[in-house]
Amino acid sequence: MYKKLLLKVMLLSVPIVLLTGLVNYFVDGAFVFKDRSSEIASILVSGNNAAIKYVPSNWGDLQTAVVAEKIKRGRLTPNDIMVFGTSRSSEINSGLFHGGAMFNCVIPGGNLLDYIGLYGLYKSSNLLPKYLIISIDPWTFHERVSVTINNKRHSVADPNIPLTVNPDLSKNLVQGMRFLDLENISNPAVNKESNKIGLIKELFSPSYLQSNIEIGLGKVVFITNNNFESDYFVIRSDGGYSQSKETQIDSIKVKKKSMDFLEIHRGNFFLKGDTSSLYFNYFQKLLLAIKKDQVTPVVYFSPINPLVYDGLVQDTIVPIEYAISSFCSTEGILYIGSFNPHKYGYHNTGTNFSDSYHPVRSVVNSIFYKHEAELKKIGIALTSNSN
Amino acid sequence: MCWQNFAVMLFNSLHFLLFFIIVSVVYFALPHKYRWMLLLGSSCYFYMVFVPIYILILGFTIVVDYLAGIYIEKSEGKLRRYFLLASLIVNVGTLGFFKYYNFLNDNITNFLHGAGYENQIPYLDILLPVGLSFHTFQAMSYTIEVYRGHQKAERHFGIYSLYVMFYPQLVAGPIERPQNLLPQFHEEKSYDYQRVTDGLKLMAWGLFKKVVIADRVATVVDNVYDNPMNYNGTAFIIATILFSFQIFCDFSGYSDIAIGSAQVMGFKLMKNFNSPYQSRSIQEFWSRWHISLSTWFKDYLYIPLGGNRVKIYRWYLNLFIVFLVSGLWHGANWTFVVWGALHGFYLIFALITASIRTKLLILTGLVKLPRLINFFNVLITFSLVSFAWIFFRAKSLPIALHIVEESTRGLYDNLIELTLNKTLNFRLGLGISPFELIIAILSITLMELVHLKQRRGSIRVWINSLPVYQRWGLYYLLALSILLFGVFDQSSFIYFQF
Repeated sequence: MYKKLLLKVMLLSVPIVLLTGLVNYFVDGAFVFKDRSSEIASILVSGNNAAIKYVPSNWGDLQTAVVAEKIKRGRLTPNDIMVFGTSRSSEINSGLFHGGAMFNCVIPGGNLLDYIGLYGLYKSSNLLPKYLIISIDPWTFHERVSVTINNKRHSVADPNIPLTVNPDLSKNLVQGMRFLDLENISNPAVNKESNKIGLIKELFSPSYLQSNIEIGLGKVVFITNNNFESDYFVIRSDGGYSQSKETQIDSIKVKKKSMDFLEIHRGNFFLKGDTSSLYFNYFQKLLLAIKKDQVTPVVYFSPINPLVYDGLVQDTIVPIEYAISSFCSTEGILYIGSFNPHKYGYHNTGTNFSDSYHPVRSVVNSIFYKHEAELKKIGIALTSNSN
Repeated sequence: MCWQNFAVMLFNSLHFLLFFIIVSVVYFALPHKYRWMLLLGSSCYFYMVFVPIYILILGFTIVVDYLAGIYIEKSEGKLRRYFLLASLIVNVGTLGFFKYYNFLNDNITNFLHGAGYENQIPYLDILLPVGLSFHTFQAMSYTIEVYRGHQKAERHFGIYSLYVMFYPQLVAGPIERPQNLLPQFHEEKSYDYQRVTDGLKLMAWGLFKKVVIADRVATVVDNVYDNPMNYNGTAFIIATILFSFQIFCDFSGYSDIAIGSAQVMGFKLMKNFNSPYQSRSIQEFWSRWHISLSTWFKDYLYIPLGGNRVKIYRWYLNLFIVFLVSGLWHGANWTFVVWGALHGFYLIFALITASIRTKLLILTGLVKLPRLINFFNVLITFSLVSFAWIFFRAKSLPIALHIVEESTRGLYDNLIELTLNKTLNFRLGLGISPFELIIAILSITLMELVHLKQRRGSIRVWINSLPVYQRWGLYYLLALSILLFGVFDQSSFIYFQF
């Protein structure tokens, strides 16, 4: 008697589940199942922008694919300027710098271990640049985890759990740690089992199905000359990307996102800083090692949305920023920018931020131009200020 | 920093789906005498997904009410009343503390500030136990019915606990009566194919209402109501109308899933909604909206106050009190009290003007056009209910009043803009694409057509009478609609906050 029910439930659900799985696997707009990193890397190394339907989930893979593509094409001359950064520095663009090649190694949501991985990748390929801009976020030394609060998912930093590296950079992390004469960090990048569970979830995910159907017969990746394409995410040939125009100008949504962020993060790391951690020590070693490699490091602090900064930070400077800038001053390393937006005259949310902590391009440009003289002194020439 | 995950097990989650399948399968595999243990254990698990330690609070009230029921039945005279009072005080006290402590403290602060004093009473960082308002009322219903002699005291502690904690209706009702639910736990339920499939269909329909309609229009409602200073006129009216459907689809969707999941196991829960937006009067609306709550207030507050068997002004006062309390039950904010008061006012005004309106209809000859009258009655009732929802949804009274003011003034500005600007400069910025809005409107239309069809007969019977290919076509259509148009970002049900 249960057989009839089971049969009918399967008759209804199996075709639907199968259809979902097939569409998700074969369309795969966010490259969850198939690696399109090489395809994107090929476009970027050719000097073009790549328009992709959805933000890739494997940025570490993209970075290694870019290096592999350069080696494959015999482009063995290192860039003049490179950026190791996250989404908060993705607006650092080649148009800022006068002459020379620039590449922005963006790892959205990245942390210190990802930077060490990138260092390992580029050093082992003999592609370290002349100048390396390292972008620091308040959570660069803290792992970010997904938590559910009031039935909504949020990404929050938790200093109590060890950092993990982007899975595609784990081999490079080992190389990087070796170059820094550091003990190998034993925590694996991503638990392989949970990664498999994640893949299965995505395969049958209704949300992913809807996204893939939206792509329909459209292209998943194509070359573009534009920085923005309607309904597409554009990675520039210099490796960075911009938030969509709609996101940037919708100040109502920006304010709401900032208020939500404040609500979740009150009492969090911004007020504490973590300058005593093991990772801060690794960071110091990384900067010194870069100097030893005849690469000139520049530390960059990207500002936070003033609404969030004022709500979370009691002092004029976040402790971790103070600690890093003090170290840089001692070692003669240039640092520019600040988490504090007021230092650069950004007192209102307005249209200067696309959410609680991502500044728009004009903000990033203006910070670099404010330090033009100091950058010139170390050999980085900026293009003329067109802001 | 230790991040605490506070989450209920949502009916529209994979977690609940797996939980439901496991519990249902094991339920039918177990002999009847062990089934109450399975249901109680699974209900405890369901509740403890939220804040595990809060089960102690629930446990405490269950023990008090269980003992109260027994002692009320055993005792005589005034002693019976004392046991009932003790039970009610514990229940209302628990509800009052967790739900209204800070609200009361806020009002004391405002009052003292006005008099030039400081409030020394501390605020407490209290998390409202999920479903407290619902299971408290259900528990109170039990002791009251035992006191009235309409229900024998339940001697089986496990069965009584299950009556309070039964997971399908634990967190947001329907608020059951002991006469309906308790005996069902003693009856042996056998597997019945038709009953199980009907239950599953009801759950699917509830899921459709929740993820396709409620969660889709929630984007617009949240954008507008959470940022009221950035909107006016048309945006407020659209958002308010959409909220009317959001709250209905959210709550009735939840109720359908609750009733359906109980039905699968053979339990019959009471119907909680009956096409409320097709009501022709506020009185009819309250016989169709959140039926389990309105009947609870009728039986345990309105009738004890005297109901309508008192002088006319006392009758109106009774009605008003019931709606004020109902408003306060929904939340610790003056906006809910105003919402309740508005409905009380609507009802009383309708009663006072009933004969005048009838005379007007006769005088104008409109009485010969009953369909037209019905249509306008439905439209007017919907408008009144939607207007009151402004206060229900707004975060504060000043915001609610701002929305009311701007809905009219801003609407005029918007109409001028629309007529003068023939291009597409007129933008509402509701935060939803035209395609998504069309999906929402079509889904709402479909839902109301289903409600209209239900007036002529059971939709379930109609579906079962269709040829098999048409029936299965409908099933696939429903499943695909949920899959393709549902919003799956795990948003909670609105009534969970009560």
